[in-house]
Amino acid sequence: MNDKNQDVWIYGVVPAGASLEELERREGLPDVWVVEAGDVAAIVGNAPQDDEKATRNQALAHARVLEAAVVDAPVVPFRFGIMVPGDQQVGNDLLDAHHDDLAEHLKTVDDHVQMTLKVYYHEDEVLREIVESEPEIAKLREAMREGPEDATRDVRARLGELVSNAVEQRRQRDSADILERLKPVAQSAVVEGLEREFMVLNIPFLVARDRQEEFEDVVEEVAQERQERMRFRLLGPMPVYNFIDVEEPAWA
Amino acid sequence: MSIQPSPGGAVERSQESQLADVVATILDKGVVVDVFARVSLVGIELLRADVRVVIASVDTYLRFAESVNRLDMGREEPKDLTGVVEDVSEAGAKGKSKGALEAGAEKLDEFLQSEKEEETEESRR
Repeated sequence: MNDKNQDVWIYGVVPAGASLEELERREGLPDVWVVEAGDVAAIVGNAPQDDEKATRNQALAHARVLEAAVVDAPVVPFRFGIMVPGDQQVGNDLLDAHHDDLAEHLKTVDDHVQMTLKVYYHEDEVLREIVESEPEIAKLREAMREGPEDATRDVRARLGELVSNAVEQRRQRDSADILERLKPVAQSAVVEGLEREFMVLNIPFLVARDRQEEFEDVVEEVAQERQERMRFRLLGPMPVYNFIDVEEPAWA
Repeated sequence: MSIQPSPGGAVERSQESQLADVVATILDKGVVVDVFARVSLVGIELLRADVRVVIASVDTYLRFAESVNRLDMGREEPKDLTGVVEDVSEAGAKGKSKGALEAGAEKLDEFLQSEKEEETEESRR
């Protein structure tokens, strides 16, 4: 399986004997294999080269392998970048040495998946709405358009600040509304930092496996109601990355 | 990547995560076991730099003002072309100084909490 001179990359841990059909079926994934010990099994593969391009490819590989695995089995995701010298060490040092902890983690993640929701404003739409509803912004906009750029820098900065505040107000209201709608179908949620301007929210949800479809339906409904103003992206199911904490699980 | 068309179609679903999504998800998250584990990819620092959060600054404000300026409100004359060209070159120069901050996660403890309370209340009834 593994070349003796090459490190083994740890993707994550699943129950021993889990059938990982989606992982075998899905195309474009790197070669991976399973090392079992007792009740637990590690999904592992060859470690990549130590350079930027290989690292970026491996970041995608790491996430995609685990996304495929979680379709069929509970997955304890390992942090990106963990390698051990060979299959034997995976069995001894990792699985045997931490067997009960890992089994416990598996039990905790058992019935849940993570679904990450990312919502963005349609920029022009929300800006138009702001100009129309806030007289001071409309006034400053007129002033800016009348003068030469050099002379209106202060006006521009002030206008931009007001617009930024207005976007923030809407963001707070809209994200609270969306969160409120999804609360009944999710177990927990984490508010992540925004990745860009005009992003409304970036929220990983902890969802019970048997309610995933229900969750997706509600997201669809909420998205349809808001599609004039916002764009919805839903990622997952994926392992419960944002709800794993070795020392103190988020659900403890 | 395969984008799955969902029945209603309002939500974009990607079956697999893309790099930008992945980096924020897998860095600094997931289980770590003990000292034997070796973490030694040079690229990790570069990946970490991909995780950004936008913060407001004067540059941001000026860009917002530009966006509002270019906005088609449906009943106005567009600004003349000279102004637009200046705007574009200026936006290019300003892109470099955009303020950015590493992302931090703020956990919504009350979220789970209030769910539980609601359930408890209902079961009492």
